[in-house]
Amino acid sequence: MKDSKRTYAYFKFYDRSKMQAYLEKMAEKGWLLTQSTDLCWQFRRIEPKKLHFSVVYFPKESLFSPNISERLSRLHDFCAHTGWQLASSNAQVQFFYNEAEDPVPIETDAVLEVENIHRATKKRFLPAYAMELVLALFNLVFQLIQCTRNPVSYLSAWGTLVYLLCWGVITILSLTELTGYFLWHKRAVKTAEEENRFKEPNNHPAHMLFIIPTLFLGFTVFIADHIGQGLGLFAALATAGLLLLACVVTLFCFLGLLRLMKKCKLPSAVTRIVSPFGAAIVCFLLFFPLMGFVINCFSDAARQRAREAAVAYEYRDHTFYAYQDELPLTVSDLTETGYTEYSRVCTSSETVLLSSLTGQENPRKNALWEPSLEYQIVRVKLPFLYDLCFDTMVQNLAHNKGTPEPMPDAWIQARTTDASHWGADAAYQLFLGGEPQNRYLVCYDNAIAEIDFDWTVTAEQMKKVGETIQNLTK
Amino acid sequence: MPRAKFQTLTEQMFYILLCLKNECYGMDILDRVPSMTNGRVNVGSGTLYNLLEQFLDAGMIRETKVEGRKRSYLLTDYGKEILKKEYDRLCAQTQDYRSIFEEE
Repeated sequence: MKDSKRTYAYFKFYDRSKMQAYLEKMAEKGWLLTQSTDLCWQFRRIEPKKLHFSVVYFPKESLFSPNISERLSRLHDFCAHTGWQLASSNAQVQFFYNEAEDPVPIETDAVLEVENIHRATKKRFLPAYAMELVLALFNLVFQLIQCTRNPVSYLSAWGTLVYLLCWGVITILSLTELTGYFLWHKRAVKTAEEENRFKEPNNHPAHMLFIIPTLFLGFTVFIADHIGQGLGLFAALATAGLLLLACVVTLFCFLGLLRLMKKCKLPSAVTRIVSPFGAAIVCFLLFFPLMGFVINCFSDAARQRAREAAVAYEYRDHTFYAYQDELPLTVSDLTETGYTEYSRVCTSSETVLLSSLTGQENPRKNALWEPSLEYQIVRVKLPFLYDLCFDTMVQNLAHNKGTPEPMPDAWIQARTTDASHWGADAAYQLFLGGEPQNRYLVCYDNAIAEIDFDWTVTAEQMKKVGETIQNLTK
Repeated sequence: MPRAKFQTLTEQMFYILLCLKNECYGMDILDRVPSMTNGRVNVGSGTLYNLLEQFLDAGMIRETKVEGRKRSYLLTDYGKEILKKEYDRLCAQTQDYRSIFEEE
């Protein structure tokens, strides 16, 4: 039978009543708290009994100090005098228990108690949550910038979309937690001053319970969609698990280093600097090479799988691959070409907001004179996104990858052209230095398509392309 | 209304200061207050600790002896003045009560 056990400490920093109730329940089951950190609590087996617990906040104590301060020792003495024994001390949070049936509480002045909790919270809880909020906001803004730069690829992929949503949720959770604390504090001060009564915080679970699954979901979907494409959910889950483990290990490293440095009686200023940086370095050394390895494995495996589905051929002592994906529109649908050895690549993605299909049909290297065709067809499911997608696609059309850089803007133009051939609402053609190119942007009421022909396209071909696009985006 | 610091004293503050008319160990106050009030007023150990710190900071008491972790305290003149003000306030309240109810 085990004589000790650990549990995860999932309480809000300032929710002392919930902590007390939990510790009293554990004592009734025969477990007494012996050690506490911000992550977990350690218990030792005792005779099951009814104990009273009191969580006391001592803001002057430092997390990094090697020894319990003389001031805190005096508080311990005061408490021991009234039958309150120290169960565990975790810097600003002290856990006491009392075996008496109806002991005098440690805190008998609600105003002082709220003041103490607030000072301890400002020192420990608020900086951590403010950092979390800054990190969440940074990620959210970064993702939004990525989204506005390329809304089509961003909003048509579940990975990026869910990742963006997850950071949005984390930002809201952090804001809610901080606002919740300040609202509670305001009410607690009022209640203490007017009624000399301690106002309990709202009975919401600690937000870490939401943050961890949200992060895990975000990492998993992002990885499944980006790195581990084609390798299945298990690989993505495993990698997301590793990422999350990196966060937890970093936290454990920090706490371990902190404990070690305090044991070695190093000055608090040294511990304050070395322990967080040490943990960050350990995290970097452990997980970045590991993540690099995992990502490489995924990329290699994805490449390998793609090659397995392709036909390899030799050209001028090099191996090339011709892919055989199904395409909704091919060169042979539009021209009389007799060439049959095209490489056809089709990629598609779809979310509730957008769907995007990209097709490429290119001849092999030994037949580069044969016509080629490239296109992207975007279906916009929510009308308010139409203009955003259109602006991006018209910019992409104008900045043709094939043109030498830098180019004066006036030299590259997307000019309106007759849309009736395409059966479209509007159509644009790329002009470089006044010369028309075979690159078009065609707009329908819920779809936009960019098509790059390798030949001068006829009205009949335009009609056929238009019909195909309309069929695809119905 | 926010409680202006030491403009009025809570019952606990009042009795702690009263205990310190004579030099007294902090810990002994925990026993003296209930015995002085027949158990009507109890001061929690955490509350006592914090109040002693605040009284020291405000110059209402001073440390007289340090024996290891045990410290004894004594009321200062300023502390006496605050205590007297509180006493006068309580007397005035009692007087007001009497003047109302003894008239009946």
